[in-house]
Amino acid sequence: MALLQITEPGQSTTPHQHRLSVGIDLGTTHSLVATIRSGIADILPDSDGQCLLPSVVRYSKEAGIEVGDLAKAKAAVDPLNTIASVKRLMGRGLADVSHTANHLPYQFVDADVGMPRINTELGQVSPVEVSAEILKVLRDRAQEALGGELSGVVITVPAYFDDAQRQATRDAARLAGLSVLRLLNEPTAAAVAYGLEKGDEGIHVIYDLGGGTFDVSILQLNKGVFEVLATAGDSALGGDDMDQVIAEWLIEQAGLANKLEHKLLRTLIEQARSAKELLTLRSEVEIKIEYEQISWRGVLTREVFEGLVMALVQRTLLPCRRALKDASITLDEIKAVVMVGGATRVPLVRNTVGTFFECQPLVDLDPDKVVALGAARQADQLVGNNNSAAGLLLLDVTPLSLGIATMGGLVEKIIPRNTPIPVAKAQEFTTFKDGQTAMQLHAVQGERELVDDCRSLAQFVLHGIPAMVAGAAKIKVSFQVDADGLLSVSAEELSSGVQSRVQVKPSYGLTDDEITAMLRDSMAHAADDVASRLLKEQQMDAERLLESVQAALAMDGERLLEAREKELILQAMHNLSDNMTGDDHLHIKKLIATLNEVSTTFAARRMDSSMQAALKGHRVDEIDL
Amino acid sequence: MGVVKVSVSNKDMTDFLQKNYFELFDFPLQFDLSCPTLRVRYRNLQASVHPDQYAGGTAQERRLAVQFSALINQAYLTLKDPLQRGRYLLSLLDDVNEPAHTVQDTALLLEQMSLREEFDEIKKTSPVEVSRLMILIEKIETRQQAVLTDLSACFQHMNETKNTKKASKLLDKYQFFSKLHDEVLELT
Repeated sequence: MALLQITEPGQSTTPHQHRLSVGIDLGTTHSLVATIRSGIADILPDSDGQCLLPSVVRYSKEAGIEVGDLAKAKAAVDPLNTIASVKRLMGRGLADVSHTANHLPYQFVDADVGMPRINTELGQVSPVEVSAEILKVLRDRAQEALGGELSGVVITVPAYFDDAQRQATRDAARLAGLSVLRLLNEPTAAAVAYGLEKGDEGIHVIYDLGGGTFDVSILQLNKGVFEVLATAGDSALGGDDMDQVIAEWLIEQAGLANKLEHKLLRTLIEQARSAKELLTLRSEVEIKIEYEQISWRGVLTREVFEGLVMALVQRTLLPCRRALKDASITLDEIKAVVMVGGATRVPLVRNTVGTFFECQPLVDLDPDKVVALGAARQADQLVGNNNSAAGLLLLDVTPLSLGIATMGGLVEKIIPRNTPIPVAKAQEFTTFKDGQTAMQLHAVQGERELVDDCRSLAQFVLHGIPAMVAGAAKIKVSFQVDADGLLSVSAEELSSGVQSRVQVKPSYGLTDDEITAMLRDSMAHAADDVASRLLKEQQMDAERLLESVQAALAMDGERLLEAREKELILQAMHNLSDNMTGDDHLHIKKLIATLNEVSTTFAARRMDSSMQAALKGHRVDEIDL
Repeated sequence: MGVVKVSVSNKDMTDFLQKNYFELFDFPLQFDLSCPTLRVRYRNLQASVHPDQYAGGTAQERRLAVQFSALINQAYLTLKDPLQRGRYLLSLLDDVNEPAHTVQDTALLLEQMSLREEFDEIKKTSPVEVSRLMILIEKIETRQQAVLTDLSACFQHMNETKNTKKASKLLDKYQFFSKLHDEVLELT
């Protein structure tokens, strides 16, 4: 590793390096990876020129782990070991998926708690691990195409994903060895791709009906600023559900109700899917079922199909209505409705949406690709490649309300849905018994009033409250949601200053220990060494930190620091730079922490100064309101 | 459970976190403000502190960006909504925070009751009589607007009158109308 040259402030720093970054659309039915090359967003295809990677993973003794088309081809013959639509299981407990799971041809491990695991020939796998396999294939594809290691990735998630589902996605990325710059909401990503391509402004609705999730977001587009006004959706509704109702229709028509087994079910669902796809262009399709002794032949007309899926399509309109209301806008303020997600190819969906919003929905961008392209744009910006002054700014919101369980199983909302993120909010609570010295805190997410109807995110106990009469203690509970939409909670007893803080780890997620163990296992296979991996991570962190402090000093060192303060920072930089080639990762970590600490004041002053500048500039900007 | 206090001293945070929401957005301490201007300043401020702008920054910068950006969001939400803005402004002007008081305005009580009755009657119709609902919505909005005008005048003369009680009453009044407005919209 080349030692970093530390220059005195004022001197020019090394020319900016182009960093490799990608955007990944980790979808229910298929996944994509995109990047920015020479300013243009592009999907990266595999060696056969295929852009879409089926989100299917097979675990078998004969072939090991297969991902994509290979796995998909085996879905019907080896349903138990071939996992499709794993996204629907992310961040979910077994109880959540049981109604879906009855339809799914997998063997779930009957675990009492924790996330569902699936039995395969290669052992039990969790949804997070399955997703990580898909991510690894996309990572390899990107690194091969771009010829180097990725600095960072942006992964898209449905806007309506809750905290547990987001955390699970982040865990999967970590398992795949990816450095996640940001989790980006899919409709926002689509808006970025669409808005930048068309240079369009004004209020836009993104209607995103994917394989397993539905989102609707209302955004205000303005000179590179994408401001989400409201979002709503259903994280368990998509094209898959249409396939399911068609398959059920087939079962009924062909009288297969008592012959169902995994293989047949999988075959029927595949046939349902292809029938649905054919019906976007044709008015009827012929369906043949040949399965062991069964032979059936029938016709599905578009009319019958539309009758079958009508209720599902109608179900998407409720969130649309809610989003309009939350954004407090009227139909005539909407400039355009953009259709995203494969399921929006269904003519009934287009017509229904068009009627509801009273305008012709836009379908001119490829609904499968637009999300990945938008994610690539943000990734490029976040790794620092796009230095143009008119950069992107994405202002997103929380999809679901966050609250605390109170006495009697009721929820006290702390952050209402559609609040712009990041957000920090606090509320005071008190004790209900004399002499109470501990308090159980339970963070939940959802719109319902009863705790049991909301998703449980985390529970923790604040100990050490001084004994007082009931109602005298003042316990401040603070919620913070970061730009990824992830929550952390802390609690403090104000009179004594006793504090407790948790990063919310969903009940259905992996623990840090589990992730570390999995990483260790995967490295054992790859004959890699954990220590060298840790060292490399620290060295990369050190390099990044030095570069960034260096750049900050060059820009603002003279203006914002006294000589003595600058000296301290330079000293810490030298210390780190001199020692980062060593092999003690803990020592490097310590030096990184020191440099971080001595440069905190500087960082705060710089941010302050940039806000002052933003306000000074406003008088000019406001002229063209 | 580990207890870690991770915060920067106030001196380090410079004076930004000490500012009130009006100062943060460079508005004078008054009730009336231009919403389009608020929006533009909001975007400009977020453009300078949003965590996305510090993705490549140090751990400190990233943490500070989340804090600053969250503060701007909170200030924006407060200033955007007349009710929250009014309450917040009142809390800045009036050192003594009045305990919750009961509404004694008989005329207002009667008006509230009559609007509620009207709403309840419409709720009973099946299917809901949309035209009546629309008339009710318009009626409520007209009242909201009138209270806003009163609020604006009341706050403008606050320097001479120091009449924070009156402002507080008007805010309660506004709250009633806006709550009812939300409920009625829920029916549509």
